[in-house]
Amino acid sequence: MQLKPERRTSLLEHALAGRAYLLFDGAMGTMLQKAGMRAGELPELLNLTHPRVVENVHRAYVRAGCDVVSANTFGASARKLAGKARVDEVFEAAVALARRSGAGLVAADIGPLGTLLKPLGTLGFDEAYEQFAEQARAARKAGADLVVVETMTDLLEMKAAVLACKEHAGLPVLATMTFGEDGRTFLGTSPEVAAATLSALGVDALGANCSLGPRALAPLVARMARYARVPLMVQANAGLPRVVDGETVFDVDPASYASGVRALIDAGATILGGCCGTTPEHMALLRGLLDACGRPSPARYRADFCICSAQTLLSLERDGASVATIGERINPTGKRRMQEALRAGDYTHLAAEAIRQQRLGADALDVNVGLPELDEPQVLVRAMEEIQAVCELPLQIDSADPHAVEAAVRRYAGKALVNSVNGKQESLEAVLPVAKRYGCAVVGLTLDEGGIPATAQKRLAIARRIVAAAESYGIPREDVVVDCLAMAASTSQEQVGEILEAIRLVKRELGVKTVLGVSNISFGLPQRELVNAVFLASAFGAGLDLAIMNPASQRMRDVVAAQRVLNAQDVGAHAFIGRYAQAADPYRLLADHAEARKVDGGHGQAGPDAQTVGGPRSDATAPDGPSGSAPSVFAEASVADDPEERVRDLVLSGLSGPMAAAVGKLLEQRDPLQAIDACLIPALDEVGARFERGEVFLPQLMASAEAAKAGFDAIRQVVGAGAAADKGAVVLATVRGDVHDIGKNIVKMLLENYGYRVYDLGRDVAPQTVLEAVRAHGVRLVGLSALMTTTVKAMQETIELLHEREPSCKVMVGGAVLNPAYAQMVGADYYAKDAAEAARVAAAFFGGGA
Amino acid sequence: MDEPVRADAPSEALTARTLPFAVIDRAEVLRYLGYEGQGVSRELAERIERYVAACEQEQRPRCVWRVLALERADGGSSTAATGGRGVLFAGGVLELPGKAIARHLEGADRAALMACTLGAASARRLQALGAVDPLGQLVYDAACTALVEQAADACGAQIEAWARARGLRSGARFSPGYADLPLSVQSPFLDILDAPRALGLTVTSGNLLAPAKSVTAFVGVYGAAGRGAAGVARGCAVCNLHDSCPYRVRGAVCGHAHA
Repeated sequence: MQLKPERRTSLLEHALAGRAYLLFDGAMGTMLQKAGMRAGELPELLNLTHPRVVENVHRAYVRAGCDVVSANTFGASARKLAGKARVDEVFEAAVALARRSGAGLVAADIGPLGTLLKPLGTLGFDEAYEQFAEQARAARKAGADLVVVETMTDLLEMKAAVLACKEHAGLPVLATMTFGEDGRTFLGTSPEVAAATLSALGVDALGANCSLGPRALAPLVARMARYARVPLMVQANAGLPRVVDGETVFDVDPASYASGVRALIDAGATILGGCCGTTPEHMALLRGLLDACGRPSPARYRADFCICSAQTLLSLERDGASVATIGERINPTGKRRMQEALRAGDYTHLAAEAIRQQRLGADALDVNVGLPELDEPQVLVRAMEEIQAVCELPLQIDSADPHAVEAAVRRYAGKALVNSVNGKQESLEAVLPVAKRYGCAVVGLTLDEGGIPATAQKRLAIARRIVAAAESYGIPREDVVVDCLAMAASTSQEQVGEILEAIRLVKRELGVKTVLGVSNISFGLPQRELVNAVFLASAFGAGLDLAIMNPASQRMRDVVAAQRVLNAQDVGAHAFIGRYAQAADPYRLLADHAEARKVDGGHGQAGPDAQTVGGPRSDATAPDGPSGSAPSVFAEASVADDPEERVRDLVLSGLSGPMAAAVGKLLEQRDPLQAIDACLIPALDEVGARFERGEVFLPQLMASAEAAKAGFDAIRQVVGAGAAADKGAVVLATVRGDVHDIGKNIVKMLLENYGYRVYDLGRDVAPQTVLEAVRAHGVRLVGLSALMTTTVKAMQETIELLHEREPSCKVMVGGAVLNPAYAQMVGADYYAKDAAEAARVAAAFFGGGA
Repeated sequence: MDEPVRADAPSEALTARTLPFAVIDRAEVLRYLGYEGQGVSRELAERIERYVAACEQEQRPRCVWRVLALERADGGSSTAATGGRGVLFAGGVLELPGKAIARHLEGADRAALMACTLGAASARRLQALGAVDPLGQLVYDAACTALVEQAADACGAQIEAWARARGLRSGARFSPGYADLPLSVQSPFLDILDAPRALGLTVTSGNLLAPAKSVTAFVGVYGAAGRGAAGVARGCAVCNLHDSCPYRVRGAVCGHAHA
């Protein structure tokens, strides 16, 4: 019996409103394999070659009582069809077959593209989006009733697919991800992160499918329920497959499957069906189960504030007192090194800063790249992507340019926090639709056309307008955090109390969380950190939830750690005791130190340096030979007295720790340039020569480079950045298609040591990008690396482009598969077999020709 | 399958199987790092050990494998060497061109297709180290390589146990990219194993495995009289670094060339 269109729509509407259960079908692949399809064949081609086989599978599910059948389009992307058929003809045929089977509702089915997105793979977000958009258009044209995006393990790929469906299919989108036994997807997404991200993105139902049986998925579904604003959908496997008599069978029979699904319903799932190994028999039992269930129980969504990356959720309970910190260091304002890095396209510096803040305990990171001369949308996207590749913290996308915000949050993996919208009409209209469309939470600043109001009540009034405007765009109030704007106590002393009062009012009257950039308070005062810390404690007292601060400040971290004891967030004060029980009170330390200085007249002698060792013994032999399981450790030699010898020894033995002190001594005798040219550089040369002779191996060369870097840093500390002569600029890149960048990173380290300015373009870099960097920075030497035979072709293309467009630019190449002859074949000007050789090439290039 | 099977015989790994904890072979890590007995400072030795130990604790290799019949290009079966078209599986879904794989699987009537990976966690970890600690990245990378090779050995041992329980023997590993077996077979290879879904293992447009710390290989399955030899196909001849190998330049061999 075929439902009339209006019955179909009404069942779907009820189900998507959480008022009715909905039964999907079971496995397609399992059924097709039973019908003779081989492993590795493209099931979607059978829509064209064996339509009856596919239609019969659908019919069996319709007979079993399924409300929805999924068209056989799971892998029908242009990438997977690979020219064997067109995407639209496969969708057309598949949806028609599903319709002909008598199904009440037909879902177009969209699965993963089968290749990893950047940064782990080489497929870009926009390319993935285009693939999905083609499928979404085909689904609409073929007349599907809804789209199910399923079996996703990469949250970013899921986001590309959901956006493509929303923007091109105009149909309800149901989205499910696949979790392993560890409760995460292959790419590390947890059920909570999936539920929070997909809810905010505005899917119509979300959940889990594949990989595990219903009983194993039930606890994961329960974890989703708290963060899911829409109905929960689950299509579990019939347990695990085994081979019996040459046939693949699954170990959960229909009856135990149905009893497992009972657990899923108890966990909150209302849209059910099956995945691998399930059959019409399984679904027939589910039909009976759902019919006996009546009306679904109410959803368990908790309306907590939450944001996330693809791996990490930051959630603050709606009525809870927990606090969180947002690291503020990725911002060029007042930071010269960060400005230089952004201008040079050196995103590694930003990534490293992100990792540092994560290690210091930040719960989220603010990302601001606003410099007037930069193309902010492009730079913000790149910065965000590079940070997300290495750091698992949720990000706060911080820009005054709504276009930059949109470009970044569209491609953000997870649920971002947009910083910020304010009470101006223009801002509300520009920012809120972007936040809604891409599933973000948003910071609301309490200022408007009239500036920042002087009173708490007026700040509350603006906050109220922002929350109402957000809700009018469909952004729930738990996704709005209000910033009551700290102003300098030195100029607006009477304002401090108003700010704190505004925090109290906003929380009480609007029930939203609050955020505050704390350090503004101390502008113009001495001992800024002290003022900041006291203000932070006061703000916590007023109810502040999220503090934007410098996580490198020990004093601020102390306040946060203590607050988490006082608000019972640090249960049993375990974290506090663990960190502080053995720590010395800094005031006590200072007092002791002052006491000691009085006693010895200020000439406290440092004790002997326990870390000191001499250079490597040339006659060293490993206790158990070169194939032993531990390297042979050389005996610790005596300490050189001469500071020059000492610095040299430290470089040769790769010891960074004592370097700053040693350089300090050296600078008492030598000027900085002498220290570099007569001491650090020759020591590095010596290490390079020893490496060449096989007397040290690669990790030793790198440890020496680290030690030398510690020396350069110490010199810069004393005399400023201008001390080291700029010997020339080099662009480095790992070529397109190649993600193996270790060799390039080693070369970078060494070249920087020798005083070259290195523009590191990263990995998987397109030829055009290399050319642009060469032109932008006027660079004449480029280093390219490729590890795989297959990517050497991209190296050749890059070299050809450079030689054609920038003939004065020379290229050196390196990588495991290259040799001098091969390097010549691809057109390289120089071949460097290792990092030490690359440094010699650069020295000859800039020394000889510059 | 017609051979007698013991009741407790091991089964194929159709879905991801997590391999048991394994101590990473330190000597192998050092060899990847180019170590040849140099004297090293205590600090560096300890640092290397810390990275290797961290890798050991953090990474859990997983594998899938299944056994398929080999088919001849002319429609017959049971013979691997097929002249022009090489070796076929699954009705031609997977076709292995080249002489080397045909020679490698000579005498086998079936072969196991295996895939092991450390997964996305290893790739993320390595990338993060690259941003702050290139030396750490280098050592952790070498530890990952040693670990995934050990995982491939463990996977090979499962295949060997599967074969023995059926009175059969299994042979050495042979990976796409060895000798004249092209990397383009990776994609259909992974499809047959359903590896994107089962392991999260995919290929890039350049046919490189992603995540990178992964191994795919063929293992021949032979009758009791066959010439099974466990381990990995060895020797410089099958190696795709043949022309650029730093060991060969010095007249030496790497760990993989050892019999």
